[in-house]
Formats: sequence, C-alpha cells, structure tokens
Amino acid sequence: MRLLGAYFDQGLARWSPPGVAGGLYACFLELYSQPWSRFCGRWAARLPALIDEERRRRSAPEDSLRRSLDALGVPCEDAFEFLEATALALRGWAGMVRQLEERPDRVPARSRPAALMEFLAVRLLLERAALRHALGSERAPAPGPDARPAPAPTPEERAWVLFQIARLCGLTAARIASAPPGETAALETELAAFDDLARRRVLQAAYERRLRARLCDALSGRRPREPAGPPPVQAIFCLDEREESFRRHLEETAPEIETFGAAGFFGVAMYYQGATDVRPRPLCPVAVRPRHYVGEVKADPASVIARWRRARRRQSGRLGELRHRFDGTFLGGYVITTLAGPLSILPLVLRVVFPGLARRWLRALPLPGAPATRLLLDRRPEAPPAGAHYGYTKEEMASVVATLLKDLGVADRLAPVVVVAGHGSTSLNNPHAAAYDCGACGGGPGGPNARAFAQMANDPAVRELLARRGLAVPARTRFVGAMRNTSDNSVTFYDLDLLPPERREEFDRVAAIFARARRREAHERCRRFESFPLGGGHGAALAHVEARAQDLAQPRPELGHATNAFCVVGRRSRTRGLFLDRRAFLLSYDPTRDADLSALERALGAAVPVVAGISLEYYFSRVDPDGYGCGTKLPHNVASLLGVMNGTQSDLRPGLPRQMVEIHEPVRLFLVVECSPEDLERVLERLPSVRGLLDRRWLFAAALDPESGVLRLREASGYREWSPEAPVPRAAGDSAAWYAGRRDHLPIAEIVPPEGRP
Amino acid sequence: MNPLLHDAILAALAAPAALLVLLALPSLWSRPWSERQAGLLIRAAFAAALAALAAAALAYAADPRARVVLRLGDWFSREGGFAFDLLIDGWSLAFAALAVGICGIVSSFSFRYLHREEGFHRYFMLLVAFVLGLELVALAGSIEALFAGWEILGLSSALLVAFFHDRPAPVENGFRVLTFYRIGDAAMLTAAVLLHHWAGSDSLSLLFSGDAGRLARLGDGPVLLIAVLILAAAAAKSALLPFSTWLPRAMEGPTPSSAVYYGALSIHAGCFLLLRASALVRSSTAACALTAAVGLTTAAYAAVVGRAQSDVKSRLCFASLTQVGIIVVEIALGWNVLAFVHMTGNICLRLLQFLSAPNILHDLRALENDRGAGLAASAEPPTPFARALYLFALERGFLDGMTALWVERPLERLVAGMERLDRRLCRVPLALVGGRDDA
Repeated sequence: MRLLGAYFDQGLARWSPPGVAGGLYACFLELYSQPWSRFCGRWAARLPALIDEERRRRSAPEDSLRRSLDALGVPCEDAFEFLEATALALRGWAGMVRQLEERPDRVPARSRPAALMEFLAVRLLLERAALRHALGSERAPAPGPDARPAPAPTPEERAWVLFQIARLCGLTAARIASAPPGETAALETELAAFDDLARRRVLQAAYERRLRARLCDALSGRRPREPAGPPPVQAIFCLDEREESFRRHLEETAPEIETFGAAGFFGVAMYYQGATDVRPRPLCPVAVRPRHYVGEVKADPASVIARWRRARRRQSGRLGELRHRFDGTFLGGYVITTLAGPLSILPLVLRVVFPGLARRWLRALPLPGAPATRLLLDRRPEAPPAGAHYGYTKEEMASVVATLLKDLGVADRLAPVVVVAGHGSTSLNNPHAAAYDCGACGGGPGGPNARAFAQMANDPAVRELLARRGLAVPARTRFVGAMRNTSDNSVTFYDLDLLPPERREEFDRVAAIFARARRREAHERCRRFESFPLGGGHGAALAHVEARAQDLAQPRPELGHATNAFCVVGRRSRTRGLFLDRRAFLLSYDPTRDADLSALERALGAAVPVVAGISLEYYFSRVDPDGYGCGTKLPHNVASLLGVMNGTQSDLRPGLPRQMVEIHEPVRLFLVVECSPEDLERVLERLPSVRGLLDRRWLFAAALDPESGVLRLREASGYREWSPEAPVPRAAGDSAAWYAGRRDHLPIAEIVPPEGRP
Repeated sequence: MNPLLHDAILAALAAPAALLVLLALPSLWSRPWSERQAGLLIRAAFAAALAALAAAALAYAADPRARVVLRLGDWFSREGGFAFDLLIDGWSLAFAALAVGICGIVSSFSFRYLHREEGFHRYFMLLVAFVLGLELVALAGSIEALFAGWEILGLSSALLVAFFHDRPAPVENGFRVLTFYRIGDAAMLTAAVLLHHWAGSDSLSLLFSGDAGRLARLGDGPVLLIAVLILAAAAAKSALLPFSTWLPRAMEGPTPSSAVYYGALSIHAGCFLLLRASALVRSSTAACALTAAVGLTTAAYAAVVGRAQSDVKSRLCFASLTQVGIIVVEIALGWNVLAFVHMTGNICLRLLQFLSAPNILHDLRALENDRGAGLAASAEPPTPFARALYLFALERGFLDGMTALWVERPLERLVAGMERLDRRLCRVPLALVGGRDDA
C-alpha cells in the first residue's frame, strides 16, 4: 500500500521510487529484491528470496501472475473469481489503478504507467511470501467448513413469534384454539419466508414509494404555470437539484423571469485552462473525452496591475514552493521553524479563532481586483496542450449553440437577456471538493463552460451561421455567462466589460434580481444547518453560508446533492411554483418541439447517466458508509494527492463522507419525463444504457402526458396510470411561508403566489 | 510568596480541572450538555486559564524571584512524604501558556469540526484532560506532580488515538502508543525513585535546578543513570529513536487531535522535560553526548524517512520529528533559549500545517498556479545507495518490522514459556489434592 502511494504520488513526496518508468511490477521487484526487505515485518522473512526467483526469470507481470496462481493452487476455473477477490480486498486502490490506466488524461499531475495486471501480480507475490512464511508452503489452505447452521428454534422461540402476530392482529386465544389444523403451520411457513432480507426489501420499497407518490400527486393533472408575460430575462442553469431552489427563488422574486435547466457543461466539452492555471483540466461529463482546448488569457497582460499581480504571485509561489520542498528537511526545516514558525501563530489565531475577522480585513485591503480576462475560443492553428483542436471553428460553435437552444425549446422565443449560469463550489480543508462541483463538468466548476457558451452565442459570425440554419437570434438578445457558487451563494457574471454601455442599466436590473434571489436561497439552505438559528434573517443567512465556505474547520461547507430523489425532464411550466425542497434534478425539454425525439434522446443520454450516478453514489454512501462511502471525514488523510485514507494507513476510501450524506434519504432516483409512454419507450430503445438502469431497477420512471398531464408509471408489466392519493399541501406567498421554522425534509407543496400576481 | 501569583497559578490549574468535572458529570446521568452549552463552558474555562496565566506571568515579572516553589500540600508525610509542589519560573509559565493557548485554538477549531460527531463530549473531555496534564508537567515542582501530569498526558493521548474505537486500526494503534508511553513512564518512575532514594524529597528541584554542588555529591554513576532514564522517558514521549515507530501510527484520531498531540504539544513534552532537566544532563558529559547522539540520529532518520512519505500526515509528522531531534541536540548543547524558540516555532507551524492538511490539494494547486509551473518533479534518491536508501525511507527504517522481529516475538515466546511453566507448576499441587487438570 505504501509503495502504491509512493508510486502514484502526484507531488507530495520528495523522492520517487527508483525505476518508476518500468512500471509498478518492475519497480516492486527492483526495490524488494534487496535482502533487507525481510525486515518489513514478520511475514516478510521469505520475501527477498521469492522476489529474487521472479526476478531471475525476467518475466512479464502476466507470467508472474499465472505462476502465482499455479503456486497458490488456484484452479483455472476459479482464477477469475480469485483475482476479483484479490482486487476487491483493496478496492480503493484497485479502482484507482484501473482509473489511472484507462483515463490517463484525467490524471492530475504526473502520469505513471498503471496497470491493474501489475497491481494484481504484486499482490499475489506478497501473498505467496506471507503464506510461505506462515505455512512453509504456498498452497492456500482449503477453506474451513462454513459456519454451522443456526440451531433449530426452540418451541418457545416459535411460539413467541406467533404470540406477537396474534397480538398485532388481535387474535384471541379462543380464535386460535378453534383455528383449522393447517392454519398455524401455514402462518409459520409464511413468516419464515418473510425473513430479514425480504422484510427490508418491502420496507425500502414502501419508503421509496412514499416519496414517489408525493411527486406523482404534485405533477399529475397539475395546471401548468407560465411566467407573467413575455419574459424580459431567461436564465439557463445546470440541471443540478441545488439549482431547483435558486430557480424557484428567482421566479418568486421576479415572476416574469423564465428559467431552464440543461446539463451544466452546456454542450461545451473542453479542456480548459484558466489564465493562472498551470495545466488544463477537462470540463465535461466524465464519460466524454473532450476534443477541444480553450484557454483563458488576460485581456491586457501588459497593464501595470496585471504585471504587479503576476510578480506578486511568482514571489509567493517561489516562497511557497521553498516551504513545500524544504520544511521536512534537516536544515531547511530548521530555518523555517525557527524564523517563520513563531510567526505562524498569527495566521493560526486569525484563521481558526476569528475567521470572520480575517475575511473582513482581507476584503478591506485596497488590493486591485482581478484584471479582466478573455477566453480564446476561436480556432487557432497551433497544437493544443490537450485535446485535438485549439479552440472551436465558427461552424462548431454554431452547432453547440443551436443544439442547446433547440433542445431547451427556447430557440424561437429568446428574451433580450439570457443568463447562462454554470455552478461550482468553494470550500477549504475539503479533499472532497470535486464532489460539490458540477457533476456534468466531471467534478469541475461549470462557470467557464457557461462563459464559453455565452461568448459563442454572442458572436456575430456564429449568429449569421445560425440564421442560415433557420435559427434567428434576435439582434437585441444578449447572452451573459455566469457562475453560481453553491456554497457561498455568490453569483459572478463574466465579460461584463464587453457589454454594450446602453445595455448596462438593463443588465444591472437583472443582477439585482439575482442578488435578491441569492439571499433568499441562502436563507432556505440555512434551515438545514443546525448551527444557524431557525429564526435568522436573510442577511445573517448569507453571511453564514459565506463564512462556511471560508472556514478551515468546517467539514460541511454545503450539503451537496444530499436528499436528491427526483429527476423531471420536461417543461418548467410543469414544475414552476412547486416547492421541491432541492430534491429534483430539472432538465428542460419541450415535447411539443421535438417531433423526431432527437432532443429527448440527447437529453436522456447525457443527463441520466450523470444524475443516476450522483443518486447511486449518495444511495450507497448512505446505506453502506464503510464499504461504499468513506465514513466520517475527521480522520481522513490525503494520500498521494489522489485520494483519502483513514488515519495512518488504509485503503483509499471510495464514496462520500458521512458529513455529506447524513441527511440523505437513500432512495433510488425517480425519473419523470414529459412525453407519451410510446415516445419514452422509443427513445429508451436507442439508449440501452439508460434502459438497463431502468430494467434493473436502479431508477424508476414515469411518463407525464404533454397534453392531459396524466402521469403513467413505468412498471415491469407496462405503464400504469397514476390516480392521485392525497391532496398537495398549499402555501400562500413564497417558499419561506412553507419552509420557515422547519429543519427536516418537507413534503412537496404548491406555492400559491399572493393576490395580484399570476 | 506573592499571593497574586499563588492564586493565579491555582486558578490556571483549577479551570481545566473544574471544566473536566463539569463536562463529565451530566454525562454520568446520560444528559450531556448540548454542543452549544459545552462550547460556552469550554470557551469560558480556556479564557479563564489563559487570563490566570497572564496574571501569573505579570506577577512573576514584577517580582522575578526565580523558582518560586508553591506547595500544595504534603501528603502522607509520615511515610517519608509525597509532596505536591509547583515550581514557577519563566520556562514553566511560558510552556503552560503555550499549551493552554494552543489547546484553546484547537478547541475553537474543533467546535465546528466535530459538530454532530458521535463522541463530541468524549473528545473535549480528553482534550481538557490533556491540557490539565500539560499544565501539571509544565508547572511541576516535585516528581509526584510531574508524574501525575505525565500519566494524564499519556492516557489522554492514547485514548484520542483510539478515538474511533469502532474500527480496529485506531484501537490497535492507540494500544501501541500506550505501550511505548508506558516504557517512558517506567523510566521516569525509576528515575524518580532513584532520585528520592539518593537525594531526598525535594528531588525535583535538584533535578531542575542543577545545583552543581549537590549533584557532584551524588557521584558520576548515579547522575548518568538518572540522566539516561530521563532521556528514555523523554524519548518515548517525543518519539525519538528507537521509539519513533509509534508516531506515524498515532495519526488515527480526528485531524485536530493529531495536530495538537503529534504535530504540536505532546511530542514536545519530552523536549520540555529535557529542557527542565538540562542542568542534570549537562553535568555529565557522557549523558550529554548520548542525548545529542539520540537527537541527531532521530533528526537524520526522520529527514530521510520523510522524503519518501506520500501522505500528508506522515509527511508532516516526520517533518515535525526532524525538528524535535534538532531541538534535543540544542538542549544537549545547552542552548536552552534557542531550543525554546525553536520549539515554539515548530509547535505553531506544525499545528497550522496539520489543521490545514486536508487543504493540501487546494494549496498545492494554488502554489503551482502562482509559480506558473508544476511542482518540481520528485527525484530518485542520490545514488549509489538509491535502492537501499529508498526502501529504508519507504519502510520507515524497518522499525516496525524490527520491533516485531526482535522485541515482540521474543517477548511473546517468553510469555508463552512462562505460561507453560506456570501450568506445569500448578499441576503439582493439583495432583496433590487429586484435582483434575482441565487445561
């Protein structure tokens, strides 16, 4: 394990193992063939001899693996099972090795040859050495007999269960005494069949059904709600369920606004490199390998401020690097600790004891803001640092823009201002930061994608191409890229300096709406944080979430996707005005403008794997925090800059920490698609992976009829029409009227706008 | 005796002690304080202890009669005496203030970090016990007080390593830490008894003051023996060689506890003991040389091993240990002020680094971006011993394996042998009374 960590290290250790270029297996042989490797532990007495044998054979890892299997006496037909068990014994590392092997493009810093085969070969060699030492031979001992079967229940135990049933069902002694002869036996057989597993399955199904029923009741036969009048502003968000509340608050603040949900990379799959980034990173769903590279540059790199900032950054970078390299060394560490050490009490006290004060001071410093930057979107001839092409051609841009606008069903009714908002999250002391960022951007912030999309859609040349394809973007329409921070609730708009001056005022009004909405949304989020008093106001709530994002000691900067349960693919009018409690992924899709179902196919094909992945990740991390989740965050230790382990030494931990899933309700995702059942089936035929998820019941689906609003559940035997079960609660005014004063999960409610408003 | 000083010191000790009782009591009735109440209590107690120490420092500065001895009673005086004395001077006040301050910072961190965590109260009780122990160690004027503090320190450390007692690894490692601490405790107790035996009851003041005349009267042999025992006690507590193997294993608790114990305070407690006893150590050239050698090899060992560690916490703990080794060398050379400054620096720096250890991904990315280039590539260790050196570093000097081979196994054999002997001996009387041997 330690060798694995050192071998795949991304920049923590100063020394790298000798011979890393030859691969893990060669590196292992090289190191551990030395005679002193026997001192690694009691089990290692025979290790050097064994490795020496292997080394003299100069064999490939495959051969070594085969020989190990022979030596361990694993018959050929069990080999696969045996190897699988070997890999799963260290499932964190095995998974990481596999990932590094398959997607070297996603390796953070340094790529070293990775192969699961070599990993297994090394594991088996270690196993052989241990067996040789312990048993004197390498044959794996035959497994002992299975545990003895549980003893048959005594008559008292059998009677006790029946007694409880009788009490529950209100059976009297007389009734039992007069029961027909076979009845008691039948009852007992039935009880035996309904064992622990079956009981839990039924309970889980009931638990999930209860949640589904609420959404079904809320959606079926509901009158669609449209924005008040033609919208002056449209806003496109990620389909993320954390945007549900923001969109709701936006619509409550400004009823004329119209919002959409799309996969948060907005069709712009790219390798992105920010102006100050050292290396590009892919921003697109994990399954996609981007072909384009987009860089960001300073708008005016020669300006005084830009130069001053660069010089400052280089300085602090040099200092930081010296510290990082030398603080563990003999003399370097000596100088650092004696000179700088006592001074570090200052940042310690400021950052830990008075985090708010430090933030306010930093803000008050008269530092110039970050200088303006530009995206280099246009195709350039040179070879890109990553991907196949440097930038996009105008044709490609036009395709990206056209596809998204058509899929959302907004192409022919664009408002004067269209905000495209990606999202990301900031936090400190959080090795799981990527899990809070945008899932559709492969765990990266979606802001650059939104910005790139807006820039494409504003490009006159692109608009001309669009017009030629029959998609006329009104000359007045202006796209604005934005980034919403789901942790501190800030909204940053991009490229405002490029905004025509006469549109400035109009845009300021839009920004004001966003500013109001973000305060209100912060307030709704805070109801979930125990450390925020329930009676707090909007301003206090915003300050609270801002503090969380900047706090070193905060293991829960936000709650991430916790409580996600639904995914609704359809027009916003179907869900607008519903309080969905940040539980629903909302993907905009207009069935009336999609005759050939291509938009639906794209929507489901791109979104469902992402949201199902998120939903299942939360599901398993919640139900099995030690196997699939990573337990509590507190003892975590960042290993090799790749993952976390528990404490001193453990396997890499997969999944999500307890702090992220503790309020999650572990249910499988419920997907509602606004289309006819026939159309849904037709699209599913084309998407075998989504269909597989449904057929294996990793998610549930229903079709919402676009005209009648009738909801039909997809079941194994076919579609079944939903008949409403309970009235949907109504709350007058705004969302706060429904959630105020309550911390726990809330049922879906219809928020009825106050009188005088539509 | 300055009454203000007297009261202030008492208050500084009473605050954590009272807090410990206050925190523990409601839990006995299964009605623990809410997190908010506990937070208020703990904040108040830390503030009180810090204020008391500040007042004591002022009083001491106004009237710096060095080595004020404060007597908290003379117990069992008929049997020769257990004295519970406190010894106030610049060192003790500075170290106590440092300890309370650092723990205050860490507890402030932990309120938010451990929010909603099972064991919230357990954690804070152990942390408060730790502060009490440290203060006792810092202020101790007699072996008895020192030993009490030393024990509280060790016990609370081991229990915090095993904080997540639902997993096997923390418990096992906590037990290992405790074992190593016990070796140190045994050495310390032996030293105390010997000192008592040879020098009488105000032994610690002798140990700490280094009255050259009286030390000379003891003779070279006894002084060397006591110095070596004190060094062993300090080595076990500060993870000096050959006890270094427990240090990386102690990183099992929640991050802030690892920070305060193994990055910062606990690991320096041994240094502080050496600092207090430096006069005694320095009165014997051999002891001096031995101390310097232990410090130097530890520093070299930790610096080499640290270079191959690929996880944040191990990397940090070896970085810290390197400096601890150097501090020990400084003490052996008699540079006490430098050693104390160095110690303070190491404590504060490592604490900050430990607390922000989970932030390393964020920090390093920012660092790379600032530099405008990736981090310098890690290099292979210098030839010609590259392979051997690397394996040595990666396997942490084989200390674990060698302990297992050459200490644990012989011990196990010895114990097993004794058990066999025991049974055989028991069989004789059993046979005599005609009983059956069920074993």
